[in-house]
Amino acid sequence: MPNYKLVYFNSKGRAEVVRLMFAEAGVEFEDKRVQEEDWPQLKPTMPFGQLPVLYIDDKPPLPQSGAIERYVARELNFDGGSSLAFAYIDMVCNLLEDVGSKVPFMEKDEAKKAAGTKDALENHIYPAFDKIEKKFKEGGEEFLIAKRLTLADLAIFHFSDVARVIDANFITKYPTLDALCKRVAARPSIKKYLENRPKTPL
Amino acid sequence: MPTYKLCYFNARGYGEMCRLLFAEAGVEYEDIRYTREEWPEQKPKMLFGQMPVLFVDGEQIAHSRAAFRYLAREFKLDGGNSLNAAKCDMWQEVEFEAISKLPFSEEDEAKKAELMTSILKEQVHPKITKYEEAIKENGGIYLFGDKISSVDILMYGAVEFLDKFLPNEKILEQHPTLKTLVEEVQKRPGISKWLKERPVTEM
Repeated sequence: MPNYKLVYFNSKGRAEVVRLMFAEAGVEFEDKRVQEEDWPQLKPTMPFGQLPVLYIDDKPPLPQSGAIERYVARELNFDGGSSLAFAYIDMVCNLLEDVGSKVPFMEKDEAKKAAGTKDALENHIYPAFDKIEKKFKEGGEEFLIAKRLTLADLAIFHFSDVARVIDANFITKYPTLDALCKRVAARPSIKKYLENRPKTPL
Repeated sequence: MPTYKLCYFNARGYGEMCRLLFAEAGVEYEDIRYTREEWPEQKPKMLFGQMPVLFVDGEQIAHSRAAFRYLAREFKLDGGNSLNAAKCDMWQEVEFEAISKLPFSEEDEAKKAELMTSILKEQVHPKITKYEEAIKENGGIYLFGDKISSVDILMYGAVEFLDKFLPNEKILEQHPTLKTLVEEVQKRPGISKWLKERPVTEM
């Protein structure tokens, strides 16, 4: 097992799904959280001036949360066990990234932010989740893909967690997905991780 | 080998990256192109109401990048090991991020021109330069030296897009290593055949 160091800010954001995978797999890693005041000095040393990055042994840091998630999923067996299963998982993650990116988290004008958030929820997030919920319910499986816990289940869990910031009852609209998220949270290693992790809104 | 079908509009757009992989690998697939008139009837059949969708033995993989990564894996164009696959992924994300920031849909012409210039300068050109550095580090023409990968093909597609829609930028004149890469990709037997035969479309 290589030595892993994950570097991100002190928030869940684009690092949390990776942290959840390490927690569930019981794999030790250095969970480095950069303080805001230290970031300007660190930024130019990062491959593309962004976080998260994953250090794997002494290799140059791997940036891009999507690439990190997929790499760790493959290494720690959260990839569904086949190329096609991994493609489905990838598709779910891409969809969440797509609809999530429509929420104007960084908008400073409050009115614009509220309008943009409403638009993102009604025209992108809710329709996507309607479809996922329907398919998942019809399938009658315990997990989203490949009859086992994969990156897709953890990504949905994380999305539902963070979505509470913009819609307090978000996941309760989707009972089958809500039940999945509760099952994920109840897994012993994840439960322990959730109890102990730093509490941040996003 | 599964049966492949790619559904998209009659355009290069987000479908072309997968079509280029099929061309490079020499793998047959159904290249379905729906017209605007046909789309309303087809839309509810697509998993998330969007295209492109890759059908693999009838199963749908939506989202062009998920389909692209799947095909890269299947056609052994992902660098040959997990870490190289992650690098392909990383460059794909970087490319997508940079191109997405270009303000093609900005309506205010003056603002559009200003933003276009600054994004090209701050995002696109530096990232291309980094890609060129990575190629040079591996001593070859492609990212992984002398073995072509999906990301080289993706970068070819990006240059094709930028040359078409920002012709005055003359991307390749500013990036000689990328120019060599693009020329090599165009010469690949499968890809050069596809470039001659593919439907000619505006986008």
